[in-house]
Amino acid sequence: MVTEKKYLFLLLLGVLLLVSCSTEHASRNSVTVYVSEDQVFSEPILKDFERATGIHVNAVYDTEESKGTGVMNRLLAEKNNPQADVYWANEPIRAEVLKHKGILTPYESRNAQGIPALFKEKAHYWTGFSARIRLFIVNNKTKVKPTSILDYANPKFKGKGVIANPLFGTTTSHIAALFTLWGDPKAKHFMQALKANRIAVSTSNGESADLVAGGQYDFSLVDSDDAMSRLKQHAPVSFVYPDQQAGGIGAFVVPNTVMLIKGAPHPKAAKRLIDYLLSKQSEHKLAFADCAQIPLHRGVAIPKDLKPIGQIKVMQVDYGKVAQKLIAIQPWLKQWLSGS
Amino acid sequence: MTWRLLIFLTVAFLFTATLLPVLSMVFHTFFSHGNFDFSAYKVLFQDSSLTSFQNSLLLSLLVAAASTFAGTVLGIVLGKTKLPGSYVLVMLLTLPLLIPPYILALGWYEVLGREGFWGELLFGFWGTSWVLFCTYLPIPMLLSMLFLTQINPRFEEAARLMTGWPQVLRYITLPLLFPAVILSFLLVFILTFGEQSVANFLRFDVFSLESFTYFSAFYDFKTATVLAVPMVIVALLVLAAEQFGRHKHLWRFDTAYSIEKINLENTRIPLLIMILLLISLTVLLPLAHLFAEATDIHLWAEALTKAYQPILRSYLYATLGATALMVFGFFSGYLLTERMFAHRFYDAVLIFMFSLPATVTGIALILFWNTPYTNFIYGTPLIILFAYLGKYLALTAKITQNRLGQIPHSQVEAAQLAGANPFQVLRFILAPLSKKALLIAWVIGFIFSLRETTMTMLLYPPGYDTLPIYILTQMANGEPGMIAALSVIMILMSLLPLLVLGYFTKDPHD
Repeated sequence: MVTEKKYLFLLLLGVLLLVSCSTEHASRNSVTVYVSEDQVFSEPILKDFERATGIHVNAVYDTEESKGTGVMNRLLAEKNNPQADVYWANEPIRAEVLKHKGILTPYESRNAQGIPALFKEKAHYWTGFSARIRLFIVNNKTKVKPTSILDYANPKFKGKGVIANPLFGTTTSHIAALFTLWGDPKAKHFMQALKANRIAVSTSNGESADLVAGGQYDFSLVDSDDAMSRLKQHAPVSFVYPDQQAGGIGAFVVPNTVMLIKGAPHPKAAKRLIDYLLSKQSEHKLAFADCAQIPLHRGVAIPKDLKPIGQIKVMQVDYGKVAQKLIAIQPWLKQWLSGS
Repeated sequence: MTWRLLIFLTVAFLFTATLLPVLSMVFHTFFSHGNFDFSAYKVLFQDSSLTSFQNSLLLSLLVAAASTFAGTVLGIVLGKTKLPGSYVLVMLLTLPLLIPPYILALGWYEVLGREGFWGELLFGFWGTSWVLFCTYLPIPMLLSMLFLTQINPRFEEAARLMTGWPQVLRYITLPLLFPAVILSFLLVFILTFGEQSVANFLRFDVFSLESFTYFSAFYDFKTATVLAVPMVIVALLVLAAEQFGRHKHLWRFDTAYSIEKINLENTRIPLLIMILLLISLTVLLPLAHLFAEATDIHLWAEALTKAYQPILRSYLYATLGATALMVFGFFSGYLLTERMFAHRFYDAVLIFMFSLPATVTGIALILFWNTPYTNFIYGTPLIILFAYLGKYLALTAKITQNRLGQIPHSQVEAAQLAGANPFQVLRFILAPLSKKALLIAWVIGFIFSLRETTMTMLLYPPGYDTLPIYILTQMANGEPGMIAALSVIMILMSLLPLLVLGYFTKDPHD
């Protein structure tokens, strides 16, 4: 009988431990943040925030496997009873989706002042910081390098390029931006021409970068952090900022975004975290991390391989319209993909 | 309190905790803006859905057939012969089943890379089939070994008077093992059909990924749920095949007989070499590569420093999950054995929940339990326990059902006549007599809880992740050596329940 009581006691202790996991995070001086930026890059920043403010951070990170499913689906499913205070997304499109679904509330951070208006939502639902650039990673053996995204449809590059699955991640945002900029007929024609030019489709930007680094393909449109990491691994590659010529559409910029959740359980701590992420200090750290993200504030030091944002011709798009377009073209893209 | 009331309360709790959220989600797929609308189901007939469904069927058939054939042969060799070190060989062969399948896929990626002939073979149908074959090979092997204990040695002894072992195996042992073959095939088929992490990692388009895509690319819960329905139908058809086929009681076992082992003589060494070769190919090669990547002691120290909390939480969640699965599995097993209430329906519900894609279960639990009044469940790891219960109860219920079916009714009736209440019957009759089955149910619950990733990823309270989740989040641009070290820690953690099982069930027939 004594043994059974012992087991029962242990079981109760376990259940109490489980329950204590939540009451602890709800009652303490804490903030809950959902993060789509890779944990290896975002966690050190959040730890620094904890040290600087004494506010405990409870984080939910996204995984490579889930392609954003975990955090985004959580935010959507939790709409009626939010658990998160802040969402740190690694691009602005998800922020726009969340805004339209009524999951965000505006917050104008004092640290957002130095950030160009292009990278901020007008009503302050989200604010961009530390950006990635969509650029070409090119294998060094390639004699003629692509300079424009239109080169994907150029017969000169037939069968030589690869692009990540346009249904996911930053590639889908980039394609939606082209639809927004060019209009549907021209963009669809480009996509069909790209397919006719035998451009391969990989499952991710990381895979595209590997395929180019390995020499299977000459070039690919990837995120700047993918290109930078291959350079750091001493892969035989270089990169090209696309469409920088006079009259060119410019490179598509993908800033991180941070936003306040409507009905956030800890709004004060949430605002402090947002202020911290939008600071020059955080941008500096992300620029010198392996992800090598480009600061959006002026005057923040960057590694020598990077160009400051002011020296890059940037694609002028309204991210809100890009998000709407993205949702509208998803069925078409799925059809385009299945027919490839 | 009567038994019926106790069982009723158990069923009511399980239905509310796990089935109701899912049914509510499925129910909503039939409505649009408050009106009955079947149009969401059109997605099932799109080309991409049909192609991936075909891919999944082909993959599941191949993996189920290959692993059942190889696993049955292995089971006979390891369970029926006097092969030296067979216990260690079984442990090694079982290892892939204990760890999250993506770790095995990661190991093969480390070995073969992405390029060249082998790399290209790995990424696609053949690579996915191979990794899943290695993952599920232990199931038919262990089931064959278990079913060998069900063969009355007298049949074999009688046949041995007339002929040698090869003929006995062919005409007596193998036909009597047929239920194990069928059961293995069905189980591996269902598990392969629902698995997505390996196919996702190795870029092979399977049907379970369709539902996942609608969650991840479209944030469309309704269509994602619709795409889960055919998977459930396939699993229920498999269940129907079991129910109405020739072997109605595949899960039922009688008292174990002691196995008459074959002396291998000259074939002992060649067989041992062949099995070691197979172990090298299916287990050691991919996992040794991970071990080789993680040789730096500093990496280990760093990995343990960073991940000690997820490690402890993994054990806590898995321990409580296994305990809940064992307890509820016991009551569910009792319901099925005694054919109480709508036991056939309940049986189907367990298989329904087992075969439902984990993402659907996870989202359903969020939508149902995330309210201000139920924060003590949703805001805590209790929600993860609910998820484990919903998903894996079928396994522990079936294990207990089998054992409870062997306990004579007269024992329970005698205790009741002597004035024992249900708890006393449970305490003094049923629990002691099914102790080993309960232990096996606990270990299986522990293994599946420990390796679970998809539902945990959706449901874990902020800041309270588990080790498999931590590894997954590190895989995005994390240091390869660190990921390898974490994966090795995961493998070593998974071995613990096997050692526990080995310690408590020293009799090889268990």
